[in-house]
Amino acid sequence: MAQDEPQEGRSTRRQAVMTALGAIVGFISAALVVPLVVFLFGPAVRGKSSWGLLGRSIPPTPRSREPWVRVGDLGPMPQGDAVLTTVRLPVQEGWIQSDMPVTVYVRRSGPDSATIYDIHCTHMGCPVRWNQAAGRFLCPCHGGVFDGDGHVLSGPPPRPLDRYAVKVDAGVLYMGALELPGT
Amino acid sequence: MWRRAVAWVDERLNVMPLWHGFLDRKVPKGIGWFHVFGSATLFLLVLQFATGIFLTVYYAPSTEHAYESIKFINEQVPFGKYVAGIHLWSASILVVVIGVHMLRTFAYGAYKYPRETTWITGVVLLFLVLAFAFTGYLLPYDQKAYWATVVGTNIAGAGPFVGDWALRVLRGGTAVGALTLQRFYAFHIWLLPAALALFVAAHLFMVIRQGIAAPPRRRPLDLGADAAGLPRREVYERQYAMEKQAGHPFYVSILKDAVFALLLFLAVSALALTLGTPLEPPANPNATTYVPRPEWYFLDFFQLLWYLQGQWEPLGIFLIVLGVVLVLLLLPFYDRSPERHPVRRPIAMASAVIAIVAVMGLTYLGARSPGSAPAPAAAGGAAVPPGAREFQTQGCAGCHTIAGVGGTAGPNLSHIGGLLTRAQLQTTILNGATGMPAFSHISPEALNALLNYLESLK
Repeated sequence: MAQDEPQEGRSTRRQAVMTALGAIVGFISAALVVPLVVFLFGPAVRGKSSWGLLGRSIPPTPRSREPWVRVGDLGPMPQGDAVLTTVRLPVQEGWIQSDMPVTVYVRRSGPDSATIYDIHCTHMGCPVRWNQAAGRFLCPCHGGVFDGDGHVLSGPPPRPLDRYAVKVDAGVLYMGALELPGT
Repeated sequence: MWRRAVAWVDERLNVMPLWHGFLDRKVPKGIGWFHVFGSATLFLLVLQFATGIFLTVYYAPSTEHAYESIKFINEQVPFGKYVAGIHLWSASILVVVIGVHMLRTFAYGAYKYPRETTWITGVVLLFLVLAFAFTGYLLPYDQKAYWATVVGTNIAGAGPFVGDWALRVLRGGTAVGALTLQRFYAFHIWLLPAALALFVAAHLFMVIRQGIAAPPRRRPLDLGADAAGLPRREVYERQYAMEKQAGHPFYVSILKDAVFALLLFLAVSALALTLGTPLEPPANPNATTYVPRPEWYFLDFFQLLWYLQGQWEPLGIFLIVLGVVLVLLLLPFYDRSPERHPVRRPIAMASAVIAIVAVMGLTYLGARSPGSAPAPAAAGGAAVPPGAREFQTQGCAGCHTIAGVGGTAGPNLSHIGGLLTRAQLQTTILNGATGMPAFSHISPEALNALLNYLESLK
């Protein structure tokens, strides 16, 4: 009977039970918590895929290996103006595959050259607005101002507007992957 | 009948002594209306749980259905507007009530020995509630939801070292979309409530175990001649016993709590019934005319982003957030003086006032800022001077206010004509100034009109 044990014997026995209990609880917790946390953090842990590619930008991850998406004929586009254009981009979000409409600014710079800008301010991701009269992109959130070439003129944005790769083939403009700083 | 049922249960479980102990225990004198905010927080949390659980009956956490399901709750479900409205409005009021509760605790020095752990769990609860707010307002998936989440997660993403990682964990991918909504739903419905329940239980256990802190006294109680040299715990226990002796039973206080809860409930119900749950247009990642704006309780932080610029901004944001967390969490450890009366803690009280003014000031500025990319003005009648139109089309109003309209990033130009000469104005416009881009591409006619207009402002 436990209560007949001397004080000392009971305490060592109790200590042994507590240690065993601690070990069992610790093992089960670790075996559960580690997989659960990694499960939750999956998007950050899966480094091999294109997760890291887009960094802090907003557009979703393109699905196809064929990176070029047709934007349209370059011919009728006015030069100098930044035109809002919506492109259907094949994307993959987790288990969802879709052709997602993605809006970009297309700015034709010559007879067969153009630049395609991501619409998001590089500060905090607010959608920038093209102001034709001033020839600038204005961010509505914290006063970021970009010139027509996407360079920062004032405000907090840390880098120029993000651009997409472009290709002009037989007068047709194609849009490629988002080009990120350092790539 | 009721009595017999209670007696039947009690004969088996013997819980009445606990119940009486809870109600009849004495609380110190002066526990009154200032103390209702803690129980009010609990009451509003219960409202959140109750309405939140029922909202899941109709709400669908997918980008295709979320918006329509909220619309359906608002427009089709009987009492839908009321249930969703209570959830929305009590969340806003909850943030205010928690703020007042913390201020009361701070002013009374109730976070000091022996209640440090109560304060710490309370601070954790504050951040849990803010996490609830942040994850909750993505769920309707309207414009505000989408863009506030883009900005909010980008702020996290700007953090040094772990920024990119945090961004992807929050978004569930690179873009804000279906995965983000699913994840925020899981946080909002399962993870955060579990954490909240745990911390509320711990917080309440501490409050009941230790008793409510007595209001501070300017002159300490006379503990008797033999009190000097006693260990801190014994001095405290003697003091608290005297405070309780002079106090009243807890059930007297509880009536005030109930009355305040009733008032809050009526206010929340009125807001829910009259204003409902205003929805913006459905989330549109491709909108370029939308001005992102967070819920009011995050406006202070949103406004703060105006003032941090350049390469150190990410570090600045990170340090500010970390600073706020640490200052609150560690308060009982760096403020170790036993003095509790606000009059005798001038530095602590002054710091609190500065913090309140800063938060309210930033919130106010954030609320009245119109956004920094005004849509080019409509053609306007003959009454509008051409320069005023130019002021709009060139985007000047994004940063400058004239006659109460415009942004706050740059100087107010309402009286600029009396301050600068035409030549000075022209130089500034063409060459820019600190924080202002040069407008060198402007056409001579537009410049002329703009200068005429600015000169006329005296």
